[in-house]
Amino acid sequence: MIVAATWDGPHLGPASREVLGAAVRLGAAVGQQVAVASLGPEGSGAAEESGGYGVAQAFVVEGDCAASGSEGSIAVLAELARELGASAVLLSADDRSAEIAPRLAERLGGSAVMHATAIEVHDGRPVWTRPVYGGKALATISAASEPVVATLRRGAFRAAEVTGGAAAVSTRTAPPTDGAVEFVGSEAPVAGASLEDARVIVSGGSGVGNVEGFAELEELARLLGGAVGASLAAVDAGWAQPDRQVGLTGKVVSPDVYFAIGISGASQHLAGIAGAKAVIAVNTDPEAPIFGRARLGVLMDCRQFLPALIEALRRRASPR
Amino acid sequence: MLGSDGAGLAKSARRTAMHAIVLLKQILDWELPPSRFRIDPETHRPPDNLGPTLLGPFEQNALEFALQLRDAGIVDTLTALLAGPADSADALRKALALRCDEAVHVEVGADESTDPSQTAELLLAAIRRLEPAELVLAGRQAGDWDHGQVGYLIAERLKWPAVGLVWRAERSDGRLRVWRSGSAGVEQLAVRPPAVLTVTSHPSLRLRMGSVMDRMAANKRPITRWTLDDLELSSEQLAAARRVELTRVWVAEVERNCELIEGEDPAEIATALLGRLEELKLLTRPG
Amino acid sequence: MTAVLGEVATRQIQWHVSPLMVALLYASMSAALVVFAYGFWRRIRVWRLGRPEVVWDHPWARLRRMLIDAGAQASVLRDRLPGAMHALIYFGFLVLFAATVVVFIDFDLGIPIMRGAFYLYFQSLTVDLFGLLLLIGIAIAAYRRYVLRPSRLEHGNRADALMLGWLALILVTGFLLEGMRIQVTHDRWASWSPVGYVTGLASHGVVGSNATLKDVYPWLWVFHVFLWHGLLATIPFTKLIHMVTSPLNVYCANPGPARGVVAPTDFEDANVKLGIRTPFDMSWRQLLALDACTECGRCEAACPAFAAGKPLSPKSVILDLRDHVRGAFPQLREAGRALGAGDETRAQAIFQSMPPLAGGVIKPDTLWSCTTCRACEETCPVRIEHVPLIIGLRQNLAMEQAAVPAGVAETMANLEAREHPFRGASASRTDWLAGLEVDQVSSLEEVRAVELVYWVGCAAAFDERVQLVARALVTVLQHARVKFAVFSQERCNGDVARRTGNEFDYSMLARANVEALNGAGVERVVTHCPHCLQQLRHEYEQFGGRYTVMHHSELVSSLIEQGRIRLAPGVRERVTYHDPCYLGRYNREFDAPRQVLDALAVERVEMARSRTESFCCGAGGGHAFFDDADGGEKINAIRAREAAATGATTVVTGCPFCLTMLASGARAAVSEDRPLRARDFVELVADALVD
Repeated sequence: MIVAATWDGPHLGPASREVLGAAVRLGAAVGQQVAVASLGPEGSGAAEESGGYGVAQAFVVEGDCAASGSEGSIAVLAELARELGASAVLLSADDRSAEIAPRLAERLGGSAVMHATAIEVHDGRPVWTRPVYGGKALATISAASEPVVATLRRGAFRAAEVTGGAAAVSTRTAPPTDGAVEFVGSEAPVAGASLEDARVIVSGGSGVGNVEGFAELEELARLLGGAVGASLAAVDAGWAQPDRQVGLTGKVVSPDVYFAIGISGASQHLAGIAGAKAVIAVNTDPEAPIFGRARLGVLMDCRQFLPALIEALRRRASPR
Repeated sequence: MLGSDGAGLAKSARRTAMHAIVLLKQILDWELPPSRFRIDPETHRPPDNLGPTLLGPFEQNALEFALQLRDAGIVDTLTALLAGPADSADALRKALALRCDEAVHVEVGADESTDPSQTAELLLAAIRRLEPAELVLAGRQAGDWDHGQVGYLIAERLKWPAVGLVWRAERSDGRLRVWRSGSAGVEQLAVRPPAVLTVTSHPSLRLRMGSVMDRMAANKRPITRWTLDDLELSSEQLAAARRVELTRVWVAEVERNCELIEGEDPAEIATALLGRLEELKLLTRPG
Repeated sequence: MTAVLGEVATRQIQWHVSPLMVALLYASMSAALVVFAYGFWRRIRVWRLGRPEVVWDHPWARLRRMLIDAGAQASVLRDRLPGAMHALIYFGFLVLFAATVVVFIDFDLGIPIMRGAFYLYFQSLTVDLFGLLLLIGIAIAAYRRYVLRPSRLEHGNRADALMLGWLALILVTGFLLEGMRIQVTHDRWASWSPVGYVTGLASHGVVGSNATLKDVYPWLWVFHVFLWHGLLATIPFTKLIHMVTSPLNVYCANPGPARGVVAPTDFEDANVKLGIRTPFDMSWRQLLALDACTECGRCEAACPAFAAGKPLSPKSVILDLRDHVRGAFPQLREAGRALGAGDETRAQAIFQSMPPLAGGVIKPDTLWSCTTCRACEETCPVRIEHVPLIIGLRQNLAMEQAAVPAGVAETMANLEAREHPFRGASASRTDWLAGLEVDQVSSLEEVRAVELVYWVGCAAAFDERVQLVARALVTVLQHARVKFAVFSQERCNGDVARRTGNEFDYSMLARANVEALNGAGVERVVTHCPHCLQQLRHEYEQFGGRYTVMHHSELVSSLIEQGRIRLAPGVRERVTYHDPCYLGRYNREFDAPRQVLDALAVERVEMARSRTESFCCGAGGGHAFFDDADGGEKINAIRAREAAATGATTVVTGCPFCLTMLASGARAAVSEDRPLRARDFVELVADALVD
């Protein structure tokens, strides 16, 4: 059995649909069925929706899993995986699964694969591809023990297709935890659109130069209807909040258009935009790695170019 | 010594100030120019002497985090622990120069495994030999293999709680209140030690500089060196801990086909760019 | 007593002054001298706290400079109004003092020199005129201090007003005495003392009778004597001590030719001192300099950090140190005794009870604001060297306290790990050479086969904009058929570490570089970076590295002169040249880049602050690697605006950091309709080459 976990509710989000897609295709390749564990608030909605994608069974976890950090989620997923004899548990790679996957794998006596970008099947067994060395290289690994708990990178897997059908939905209660971890509170990210779901992202790097430059990026993003991202360098310099960081250790994004403004394209950043359809780069250095990834490029100092681009967009929006 | 169920360790959790162990790793320079980066297909690793090796970026964050906890009186003794080949002790010297109380080097061969489970096994054996600790701090992932598992595996085997991607901690009623970056933004959790925390990068966690006297003294301070024998770990046991097989490692190909938009002045280029975006259907026409 | 003195011109010394009063004069003079000596001793004993330092080298050069700057007031006169003011006072004082000496020789030693033509021309006329000039000087000083009120002066000090008034009173009473004597004795040579003569007439007019004048005279004389002796006695206790300490400081100042070289630290020494922690770590010469300061404020007016609103005034650094050292002297003396007796603990306890010099007496922000441009030193009329003090204090902050500004710790870590300061750069050191046919050398044979080694430096390797400068220089050198090659074992010259006080990291880089360069037998070097120039030419000597180093302006200029570079006339553009601090003030190269520009078809204009008065770009002292700073107008914006104000469309320079700074300053400060480009002069040459 392939188990896919989601924390969405009441509807399945794009990340979960990608995980489902991978689960369904993997299940078909190895001849196993797919079950969904829905751990989010109002998770019954997501569980029922999953039936439409070819999932046979769905389990709705009741109770607030998040109240104990990741402890509750790990416990209920371990229980489910054992019961179902899962050979693989798939999760979307994010800050939550970063904590959950290794411990779940260990608890089940299996192996964890983090940030997988591709799954192939050889001799009936899955082989996983993941980035290493900050994204400069790729590695294929196979598990020595089952189950495999894998986190899947956003944008690397095609979303599940609607096949119709319904899943058998049942409920579960999260087993009690020892209370060693308690959730105290959270602060929602400051600026609007979530980067992982944004279709257009305007991202700034060290070439932007200062925090005022980032204000210009906000304006550009607004005109384009997109979200603002930042490179690790820009965040470290204090020009953008850490939650705006795009990269291997920040948000992994897959927008339709990604503007890389004053970003050189270090491999850990490129790893974060692997799923971007089209990258537009603005940089003074013709040798910058970003141009290897970009579809369109402008060789110019972004501090000169941005005002012109903003002006051109404004004129376009309201021609006189 | 201490049982693997962590019961003995729990007693020491009632001390108000804690002993923390920070896990360090020395890796190939992650800012190595891409033009120089190569993977040896035989060893599945970059060849030796490709560039300098340094204390990994997230380990630097973890070390700074540990030092800040000590400054705040939350931690009173700090042990730096590193598993690696003989020439990776520089990271430990750096930790000593920043006044870690102890530095421990678990020596492994230069061609040793890259499986996080095996690393966890090694480090666990060392942790059990050290003074009881209430905190184990690790970077969120090592900058070379990027697995991001070792800290959590250690927690699971010690049966300790683990919170990851932390960048700030304060004492709060016998627990540690930690700030972590989570999917819902910044999350605050209260953890009861003993616990494992993995540390992420944050502007407040840039590793500090050591004073020259401390740096010079660090060269003379002792580093405890342990081999597999010292840890009572046989190579069979270590091999048995392996969970994944590496079949192939290769450098990602980058295909360059970038179209440069040119023009006389920024305004012209901007207009041309917008036009091209529209043509490629990446931008919707207005109105 | 009117004595008939016959034909020879002279006057009676101590006229109408009783022997008792003369005795009083000698007693008072002796007392004043004793007090003066004591006061001077109090100053000296502070200097004696300092480390030893040698100043017997280059005696003629030092003497010559002292005579020119102090003796002839050349350095003071660089600034016209205060210069004139001080020159008048100084020369006036000198002449009057000489007059007193003449009296002493004639009266006490009995050598009759105060006679005849000498008496008339010098003792009467010259002395009168200079006395008047002195008074005028005092008047200008008062006008400047109390009417013009320039902000760079220390205001609110009653002692300053007191001294001006006191000096003026001495002069006025002196003239009155002279006038009264001339009037009462119907002096035959009255017209040779015009001011005295007029004063005499005036006082007679006011008082009415000569008899009254004669009665008043002795008392006025005693008053005048007491005033003068009083002033003499208080000299060491006031700013007036500069009369002794300033020329002394000028003598002791660095005779050159190397400037700004930081003294090395011996880390092998068990008792190594990490920078300046206490006044004992300053040299006696640095402590002397504190007493040589005349509070003129020229350094503050020249300081780019001060102009940009940063919390640094070089004047305040000197005066704060001076006041601290004077005020804390009793404790320092205690500590000195404890150290002498080997009681380290007691000495440390005393030091702990005082604020630390670095971080306490002088705040860290003050120290870190400095760009080490040396404008303060260049403009100081008494040759105080502010920058070594600031760097010494930074050394203590960085090496002992490990307290450095944001960005510096990472830069040092980057230097240690990757041997360059450009964090986040993803190029390798030789990527910029791609596509160029340039040899890289590393062995003795290879080095011998070329004329010159081109030391590229880190900026050109890791900064995309600066790469263009290196490529331009390569183009020019190849065009001129210079046999050169790039050294393949370059690492950062370490200047950024040294200037931020990180001597430990610096010495590792410097030693490694010297070992590599010497191992390859490198002798002749050209570089386009003035910081690399300063290190290779002057500072690597400390580690056994001696090289003949040229800045690329010197090389290109000489190649043009030799006709090895063919230039085509191009577009005539108005440009202005910005003197980099480390090329200009540090290495005195002002002309070569200008000569190169003049060989091109450009219209070259000068900014008001150029050559030795060039205004820093703001990158020095490690600032190029500090994290983005706080508010306050940035130094580079100020300079960029200055360049744009000349009407130039390009500001040309000879330093990669100036280039980067001016380019970003231009972006921030200069308006769109008057765009300003920043370029290295060699780029203009490369553009104008004819094949």
